[in-house]
Amino acid sequence: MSIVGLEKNTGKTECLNYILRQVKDSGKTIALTSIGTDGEKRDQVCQTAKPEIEVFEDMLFVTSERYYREKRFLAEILDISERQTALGRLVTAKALWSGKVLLSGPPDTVGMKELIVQLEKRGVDLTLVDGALSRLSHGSPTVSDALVLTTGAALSGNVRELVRKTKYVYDLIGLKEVGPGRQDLLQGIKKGIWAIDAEGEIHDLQLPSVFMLEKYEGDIFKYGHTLYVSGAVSDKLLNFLRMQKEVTELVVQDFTKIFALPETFYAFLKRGGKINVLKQSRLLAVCINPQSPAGYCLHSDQLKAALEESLRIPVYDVRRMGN
Amino acid sequence: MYLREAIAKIAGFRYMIDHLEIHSGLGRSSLLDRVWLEDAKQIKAELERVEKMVRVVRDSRNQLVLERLKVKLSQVKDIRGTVKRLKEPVVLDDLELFELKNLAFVAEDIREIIKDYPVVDIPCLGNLVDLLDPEQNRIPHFYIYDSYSEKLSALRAEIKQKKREGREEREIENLYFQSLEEEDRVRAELTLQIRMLREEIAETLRAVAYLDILLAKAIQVENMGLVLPEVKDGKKNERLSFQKLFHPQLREILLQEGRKFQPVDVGLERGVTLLTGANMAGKSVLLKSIALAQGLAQFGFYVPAERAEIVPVSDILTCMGDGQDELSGLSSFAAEMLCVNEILLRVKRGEKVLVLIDELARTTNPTEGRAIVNGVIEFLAAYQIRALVTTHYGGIIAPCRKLRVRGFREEKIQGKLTLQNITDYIDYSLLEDASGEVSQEAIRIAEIIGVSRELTDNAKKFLDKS
Repeated sequence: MSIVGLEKNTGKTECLNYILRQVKDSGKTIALTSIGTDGEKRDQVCQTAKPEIEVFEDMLFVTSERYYREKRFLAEILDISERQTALGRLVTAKALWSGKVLLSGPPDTVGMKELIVQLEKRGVDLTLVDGALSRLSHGSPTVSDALVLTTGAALSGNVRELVRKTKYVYDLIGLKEVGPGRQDLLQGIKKGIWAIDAEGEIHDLQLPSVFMLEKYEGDIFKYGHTLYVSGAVSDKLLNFLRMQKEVTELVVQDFTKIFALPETFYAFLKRGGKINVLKQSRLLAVCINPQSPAGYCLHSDQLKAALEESLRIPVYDVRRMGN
Repeated sequence: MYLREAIAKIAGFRYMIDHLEIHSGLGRSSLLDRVWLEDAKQIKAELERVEKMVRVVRDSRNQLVLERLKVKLSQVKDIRGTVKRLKEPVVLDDLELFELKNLAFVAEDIREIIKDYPVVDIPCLGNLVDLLDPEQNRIPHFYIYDSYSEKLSALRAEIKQKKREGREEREIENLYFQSLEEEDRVRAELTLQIRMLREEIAETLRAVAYLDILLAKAIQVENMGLVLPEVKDGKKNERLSFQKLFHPQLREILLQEGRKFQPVDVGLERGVTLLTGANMAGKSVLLKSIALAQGLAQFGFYVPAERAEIVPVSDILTCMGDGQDELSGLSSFAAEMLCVNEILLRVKRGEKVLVLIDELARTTNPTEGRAIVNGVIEFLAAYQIRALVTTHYGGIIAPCRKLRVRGFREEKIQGKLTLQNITDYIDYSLLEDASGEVSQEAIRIAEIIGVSRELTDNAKKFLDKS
């Protein structure tokens, strides 16, 4: 499970600590890591105080050599990775006492996937992945089965704006899956833009770059208006498709591949365009931090109510629950 | 010469190394540090060990054991840095201790797996296991265990108790620092004892890496169909000889194109052998195959042939005109002459070398070219250097043995001749030909590969005139 923060200081760490406290007596083997470096004692961006991650007895955690040496509790080393990260190799250890640690796991999603597989082999039931600064990639369903989103005043001081921005990511995560037939057909494709014709056959459009769409206008739709984009979906692509006479049905790998502004995304849908994903993500909850690093504080209950009304799923302010 | 240099120098060597199934990073890096063996006895000893391993690999009953061994080898980590640090007055940290414990466990497992196959001696690291596994858990995890020190054990129990009671941080902190101090004392003591095992640990790393390399060599022998060369001591006038010599990389390339590599029999006595033959007759490939086989043998590898007799040398000196010289601003002729000059200097110094020169002086006028070929051959012959020189020039009169590639067999052609099937009608085998006549097939071959008649007919016209 991944914790994805929509912005720095949206309470990702607190959310993770809250979850850890909830699962520590579950009888399950829990492992903990982060994508890249996180859990700095002081927030590197804003220099605000930041709670460390608290690991409980018998939990596994994966962090860099450097942070492993800085931990302040007793732990048993289970493995040291061969691969180097910026802060040294990765140490997999088991906490013999509870205590605080800085996390710094694999820097990329490929390494994270491998690590999760290794941890499963060690008998881990649940791996919790702490996310790095405004990166959604580890929330990809190819890495984790489920995710928790954190949002809050750091994203916007205006409740309406905050809700709008959060709703956008929520809508991306909620994009529907294509049918199993198409899933099998498209799963292995890692490159290029492909067309799916009326008979369900796929064709590589062999476009050299999505930045030169206009030049290949004639070729793009020769097999119809259902396209599979294996890479990133940009504003440019969505705008281009929106301008066409016929509406497009777009298929993407998963929500993390969409790098478009909310306006562009919604405009495309409004025009009748459809976007489906090969694999859908499972959003478990949204957590809020009404406190912004700039100092002001939104009203927790109001924010919670506004988000719940818009998203129609449970929203938690873990700091208040913790107290 | 180190193996890492041979890879860059000998065409096709990298292919062999890339296709070695080495399982540990340690094995890979120590492979590159292997040295060129010059002494026949050393080469023989190395080959004997490979032979033993080949026998193990060939026996189908051993497949399970080998699979287990491969898994264990892949778990070996390169901790030579830690071993080196043991020379200095340092205290090892938990990560280093963990890795030493891991090595001890893996090495013990490997010892157990190969105990019935006495190919490589792996030192016993039982003492290291005892040191780092005081509670005899027999799992390769590590921390400073309570059982190392009663004081530590007591402190930790107290800390745990106070934590449970929810005592003040400051109170616990003090105890925690005491426990850290005690941990450090234990680490220092452990390091001291491990330091005494340093030689065994270093030797274990060497042995395990060597085992990895031997196994990879043996598997390659099976995969590529290599042969154990007979190593001569080079004292008498022994022949360097191969039956059905082949070049694995080229064989693979041809195979991908659905074609077959024709292995060649060749023998070189001391002194110069001159090789002539039509274009496309495989002279350059033969030179490269000889260089590769000789090089492999000198690093204790089996060689790509059906039978091989190797005479060890201190180096292989080649001049193949691979066309990389334009970059250095030299004409191809100048580059070649400098290369030949280097060879002559080293021969004069008395080095025992194998010399392979492809189409010597081909880029200059035939009159002087022929003179240069004669001159070089006479020089090499005077020093009794084993050399193979190819040429298209006729009229070579310097003292040498003469071989010719049989070449194009037009009488065997069935159906249409194309650029694709032409090599099927080339007989790459060699025959003694004292006449020194060179083949006159250049224009015919140009025709076959589809060069315009206009051009080839024109050329023939001039041929008649001269």
